[in-house]
Amino acid sequence: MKETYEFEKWIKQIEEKVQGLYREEKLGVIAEEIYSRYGVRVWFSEILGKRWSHIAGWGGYDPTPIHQILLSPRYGVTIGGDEIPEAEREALLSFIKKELPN
Amino acid sequence: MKVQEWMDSIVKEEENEKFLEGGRDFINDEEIEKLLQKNRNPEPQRVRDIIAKSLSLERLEPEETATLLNVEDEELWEEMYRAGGEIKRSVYGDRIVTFAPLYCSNFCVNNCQYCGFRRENDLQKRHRLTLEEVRKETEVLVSLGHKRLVVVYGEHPISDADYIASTIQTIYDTKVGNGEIRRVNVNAAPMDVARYKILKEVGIGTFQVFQETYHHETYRRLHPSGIKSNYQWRLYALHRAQEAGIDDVAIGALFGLYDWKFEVMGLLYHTIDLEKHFAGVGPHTISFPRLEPAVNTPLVEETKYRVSDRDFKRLVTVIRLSVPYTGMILTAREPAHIRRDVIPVGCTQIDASTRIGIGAYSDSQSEQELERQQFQIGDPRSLDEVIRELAQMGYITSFCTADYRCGRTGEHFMEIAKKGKIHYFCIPNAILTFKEYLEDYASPQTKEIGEKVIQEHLSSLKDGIKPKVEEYLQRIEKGERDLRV
Repeated sequence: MKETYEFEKWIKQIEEKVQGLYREEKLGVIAEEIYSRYGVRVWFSEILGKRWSHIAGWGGYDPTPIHQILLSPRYGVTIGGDEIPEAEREALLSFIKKELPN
Repeated sequence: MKVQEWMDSIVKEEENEKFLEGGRDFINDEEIEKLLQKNRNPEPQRVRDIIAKSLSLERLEPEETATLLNVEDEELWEEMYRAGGEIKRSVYGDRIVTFAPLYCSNFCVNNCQYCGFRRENDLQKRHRLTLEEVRKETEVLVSLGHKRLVVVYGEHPISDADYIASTIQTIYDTKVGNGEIRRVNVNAAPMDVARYKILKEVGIGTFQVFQETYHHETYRRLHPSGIKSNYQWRLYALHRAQEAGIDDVAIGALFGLYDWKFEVMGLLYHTIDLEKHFAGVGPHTISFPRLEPAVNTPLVEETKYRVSDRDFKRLVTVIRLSVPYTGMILTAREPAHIRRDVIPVGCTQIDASTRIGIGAYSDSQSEQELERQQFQIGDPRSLDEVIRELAQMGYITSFCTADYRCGRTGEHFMEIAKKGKIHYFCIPNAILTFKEYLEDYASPQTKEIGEKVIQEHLSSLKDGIKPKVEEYLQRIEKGERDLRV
């Protein structure tokens, strides 16, 4: 319960932090926050046919198995590694989807 | 729309204005000539200091490149060749990316004096591939094992941005068994921002525009008419592409039109200006084709700037040392023996099984037909033969397209490349895509030597990733495809 509360508080803080920011800045902040919390690198892309064109975030220098997740037909996130707990991952992705431009 | 009307609608000078300084572009011919003059007969220690800077993966300044271009001492050149190879290994590893060109249309409004496609060349047979023909050409290329193409078009209203976008979509939609084209790079005429956005939407790989020659007066003389006669429209083509959101761009010069040392300086200034305007993102690749014979094109035989084989190796080396982190493309214009000699000084990409006639992959003609080609190619070997030779040289052939399909593009890619870390990703993905090739397309001889090369490269992987790559290799043997890190 305490963990859920803490996670929700963290999401709330990010929500406030990214308010009014441009797409690139907003997604950059979210990527940094995820790295601070989980030590996991994520980066966001605009999907253009087969191309995932980088928008924000950073993958680091070490190759790790990556997960590419569709956030919408236009946007995707690439996550390096498996360290985000399953329960938080879904809620986190929902939050990110909400923050994306239409 | 009539041809002239279309031509009048292309150039939008106002899109270049923000990049000009006092109305001038970034190529100062006099300054380049002066630097080349001033840095003659360099001290060996000065040369070695510059080599050391390159080895630390720092881009050189024009004065430093001018110094390297003026080296005459053969021993110093040997040191530079070795340094070029070392830089390439340290940034990209011992892997060579392979692709094929696909020429889609040879109609052209321009009149470039060295080009077989030029408007006034009556001996050129003109054709624009239909989308069905594009699909057939793609099927042949996929059946050979290719995963990457560069598509090429003349500048003409019938091969405008909409046509280019349709051909790229057709290529991406074409599948043969396990195979498909995963990255389409584009070599086409400069466009305005709005037209680039059309191409961006279909998910292109890299957009290439070669300046041909950076020397203003030579450019003017060799491009007497057509849109291409506008030097600055071409020079800022990739600035506009980046403005439109295309963040992987590629530059090149056609060596043999003017002094090769000047052109190398031009490529460096071009790199510097792109990096200056786009947060450090310069060219993804640099190309350095040499002028080759073309049908009914006497200028090629008459040029006094023909680049000797020795100077060609030198210019490739200086480009490698000047921009250590950028990909370098050595094309099949060069014969096999030159490619063997020059690849080790720093090239990262080559084409193979190359045919450059319009529709040439899917017809039964095995000889080159100059009257439907832009020029004559020097290395017509099959992909399998080229890969086998690369394997014998210790290189792993990469069909990797992972970076651009997972968001390692533009600034993200450049950040990793400039730190010399891109091989951490390139080598695992090269191994995996090479394995796919060996399973699906290789001859028995190529498969045998290829498997050995994979084992050699596996041992160079970092411990953290090696077990995963080994697991993926087993999964590829069982039939899975497109596994990547």
